[in-house]
Amino acid sequence: MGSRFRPYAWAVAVVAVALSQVGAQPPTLRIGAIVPLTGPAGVSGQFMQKAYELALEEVNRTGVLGRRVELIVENDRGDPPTGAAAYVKLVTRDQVVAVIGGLQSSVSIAVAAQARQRPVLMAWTGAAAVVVEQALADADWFFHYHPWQYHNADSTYRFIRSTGARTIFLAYEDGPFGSSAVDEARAFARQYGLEIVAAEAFKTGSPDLTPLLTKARGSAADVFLFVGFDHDVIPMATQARQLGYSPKMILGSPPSWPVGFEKLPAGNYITGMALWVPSIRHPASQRFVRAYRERFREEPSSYWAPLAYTNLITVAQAIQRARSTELGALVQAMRQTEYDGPIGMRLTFKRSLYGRNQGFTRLMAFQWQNGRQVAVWPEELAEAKLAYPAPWGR
Amino acid sequence: MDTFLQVLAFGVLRAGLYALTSVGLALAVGVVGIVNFAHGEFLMLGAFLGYWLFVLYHVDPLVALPASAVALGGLGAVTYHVAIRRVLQAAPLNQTLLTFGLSIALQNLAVVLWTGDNRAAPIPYAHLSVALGSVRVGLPQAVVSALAALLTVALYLVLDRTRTGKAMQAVAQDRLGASLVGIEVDDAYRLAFALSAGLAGMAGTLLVMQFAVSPYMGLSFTLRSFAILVVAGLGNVRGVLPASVVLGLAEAFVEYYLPGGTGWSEAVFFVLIFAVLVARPQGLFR
Repeated sequence: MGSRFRPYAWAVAVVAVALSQVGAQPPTLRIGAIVPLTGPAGVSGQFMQKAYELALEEVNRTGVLGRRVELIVENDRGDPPTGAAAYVKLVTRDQVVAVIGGLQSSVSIAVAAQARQRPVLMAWTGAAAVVVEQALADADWFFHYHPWQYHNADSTYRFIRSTGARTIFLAYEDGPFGSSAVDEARAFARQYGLEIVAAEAFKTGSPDLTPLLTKARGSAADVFLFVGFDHDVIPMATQARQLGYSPKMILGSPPSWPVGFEKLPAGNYITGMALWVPSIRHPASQRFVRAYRERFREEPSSYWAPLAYTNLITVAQAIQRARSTELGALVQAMRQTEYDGPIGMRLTFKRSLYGRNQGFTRLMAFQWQNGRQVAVWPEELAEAKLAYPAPWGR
Repeated sequence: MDTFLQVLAFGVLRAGLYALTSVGLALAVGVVGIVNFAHGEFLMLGAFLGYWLFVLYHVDPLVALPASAVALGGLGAVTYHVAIRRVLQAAPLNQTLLTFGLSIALQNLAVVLWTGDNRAAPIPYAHLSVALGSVRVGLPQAVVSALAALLTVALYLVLDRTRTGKAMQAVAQDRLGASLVGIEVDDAYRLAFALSAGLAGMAGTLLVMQFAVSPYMGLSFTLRSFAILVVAGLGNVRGVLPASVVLGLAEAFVEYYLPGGTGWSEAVFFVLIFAVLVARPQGLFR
């Protein structure tokens, strides 16, 4: 070999060594996430995606089992068949060690059917409908973070009881969302010494709720409990003010609140139930809010953000604890979860009514006060006192 | 008696809202002869225009009405030129598929541009009401009803008293005959479709005062508009106002006086469609 070839030989050797080093890197550890990035629940899904990004950066600072974590996010578009196909793709082609995410119950049911055939660790944030819990009742690899519908109801009526209220007018949209809330409402109310004086259905998207509100006013109930979607709360709040309807409390629990609701004059003193609000008095929550703001230059105004963050962090911790990606070991490690994260309540997994591994079981209450969601219940998370009776118009 | 009057007022105010959202669709059906399934999406775009003008520049929706009429009217004219006129001689199914596709496309465009969020415009007077004796009337609803009556009457006057309006009526009655007497049929159609879209845009802008704005908001108004068109008689612009009153009052009384009646509001308009189509297919007001 002539001397003029020597530099090239060296270069080839260096590249070969470098390539061999790349090949020696441990493969990434793949986790799949199924979230609705578009469609009606797309806004919540986008909060989740950003929170996953934040959590992933944190996880990859140290790695898991000496490997980097790769998160593969699939958009289910709020469409059950798309969600089911995403699960199959993640498990078969991408060979993920765990599937996380989830938001809507309808998609969760479709995903559950596939998961039963090809189980991996499923750490699921979404779905409140009990049918999902029943569908996966015997699945010990299914870990559910969000409270089920009966947990939501229990929290709601417990909170109402704590205010000293006695009577409730229940208005509910007559689709699956509202109807599921009304199914066992009277039993829950009775349990806490409350009386539902009337329950009236309405059509979601109805432009005029004044007849409904007039009926509610006639009932003279302490609390007007409104189970509708985010687009229903605007006519509800403004038309209640127009009619001069002033119950001691208006309590709504839409899945999310309309953008700009905080600036709506009629929205002041409306109370809501949620898993989390940014104002809760908890150090981990405040750290999360700061990090999210710095990273994305926006407020994490939906509880789906800290829930998704909690989701990925706890799964990564469980894999680390398990020292393996074998399913049985992962399930055992997940069951040892004790996580004091941004939600403000310690996350552990326990049996629920039908399921084996239930995470959060309680909602909190907040009140819109001068443009802010102020945490008012339970006491340990409360930032301010509930204005009760609400000083409407003052 | 007070309650009865209050419910009556609810019905009348609701009728104003329905008339405002339906009159444009009636014009498109009556003159151009096309059932525009994208009518609700024109309304949605008008609502977004009103929303952004208010949120970014503090322009009151009432002040934004002319801008909305011009912008959506222009979009209507372009839509007619690019798409609608190509299917006017085609089978009704082609027309339906075209406007249905347009509706989906506009809805998805709005999702891409502004996400699927429901948005509230904090209009300072949205929660105010005025007392008329024992009856309380929401201020935005009263404004919407007054404007609905005004715009509908103005449309009647344009159709009856102007050459352009008469030309539109002529092409609606007989396209060939109108062209034989020198009326530019295509221009009349374009103008009618632009007017229809402009009216939808204004209706959407006014809705900002009362409702959440989102890409999906058009559908429920389109459904009620179809019910009103059937009750009025398809394409009968003059029947829109009385048909809206029938639907508005029927809904309000059923919702208040029937036990559990608020869940029946959609049933009311489908029952109305069914009853009118069976008993008087040409509509109640033709």
